[in-house]
Amino acid sequence: MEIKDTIMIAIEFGDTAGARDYEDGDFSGKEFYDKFLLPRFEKALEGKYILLIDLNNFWGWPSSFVSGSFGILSKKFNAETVLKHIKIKCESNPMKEEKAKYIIENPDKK
Amino acid sequence: MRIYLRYILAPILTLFIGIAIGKLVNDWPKFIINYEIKITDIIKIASTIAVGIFVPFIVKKMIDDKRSKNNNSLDELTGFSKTIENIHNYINELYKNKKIIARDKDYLSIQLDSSDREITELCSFLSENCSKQTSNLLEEMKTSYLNYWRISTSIEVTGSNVRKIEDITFKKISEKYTEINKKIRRVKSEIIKN
Repeated sequence: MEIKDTIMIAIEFGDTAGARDYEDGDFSGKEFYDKFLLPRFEKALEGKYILLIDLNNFWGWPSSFVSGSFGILSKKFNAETVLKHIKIKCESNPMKEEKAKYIIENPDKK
Repeated sequence: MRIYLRYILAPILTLFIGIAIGKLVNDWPKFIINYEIKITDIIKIASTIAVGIFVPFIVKKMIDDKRSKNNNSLDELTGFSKTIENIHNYINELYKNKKIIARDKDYLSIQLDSSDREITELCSFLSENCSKQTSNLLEEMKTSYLNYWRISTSIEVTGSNVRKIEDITFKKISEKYTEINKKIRRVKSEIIKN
C-alpha cells in the first residue's frame, strides 16, 4: 500500500496538543479525531491506502490527547487495521511515533 | 680425626672433583654456528617477536575499549535516570502542594519531550554497543517509560478541570516511576556484567 494522503497536523489542526475531550479546552484529542483523523482514516480504508500523520512542529504529545484520538480510533477499528492504514512520522522526536503506536496497540490499558 | 680429614679425605675429594671437571670439559657439547639462515626462519623469528609484543598490547587495548564503552553506556543511563528523577520530583512537589496549573502541565510536556529525545538517543547508542540480553532489557525499559509517560500525562493530570493531583493518580505515577527505575538498574547491571 502506498501513502496517498497526509495530515500535516501542525498546519491543518494546530501547533499544540490539548488534552482528551472537548471540555478540556481547544485542540483536544477528540476534536482532532472528529475533524481530521476519523474522516481521513475512513477514506484511507475505503481507498486501501496509507494515511500519513506528520507530527513535525506539533508541540506536546500528552497521552490524554493520543488516547482521545488514536486510542478511540483503535477501539473502533482494532489496532491491526489502524496500524495497517496509518503511518506516523516525527523526525524531530521519533519517540512520539512509538507513543502513538503504543496507545493504538493498548487502547484500554490504564 | 682432623688429620684424617686433612690428609686423606680432602685429597681424595679434590681428586674426584678434578676428574669430574676434566670429564665435563672433555665431553662438553660442541656448538657449531651455522651462518646460513633460511628466509622462513627469519619470518618465523620476526613473527614470534611481533606476536609477543602485539598480542598483549591488543588485548589490553580491547579491554580498555570495552571498559570505556561500558562507562559511556553507564553515564548515558545515569543521565536519563536523572532526567526522569527530575520529572518525578516536580510531580512530587505538585502533589505535595495540592495544586497544579496550566503552566505546570506545559512544563511536564516540555520535560517529557526532552526525555523522549534522551531515551531515543540512549537506546540507539546502547543497542549498537550491547548484547542481545541488554537489548531485550532496553525494550522493557522503553515500555516502562511509555507507561510512565501514559500515566503522568493522562487526563487525571493534564485535564483542564484538574486542579490538583489526586492520591490515586500520584500512587499510580509513583508505581510507574519505581518500575522504570528498576528497569534502568537492570540494564546497568547487565552492562556491568558484560
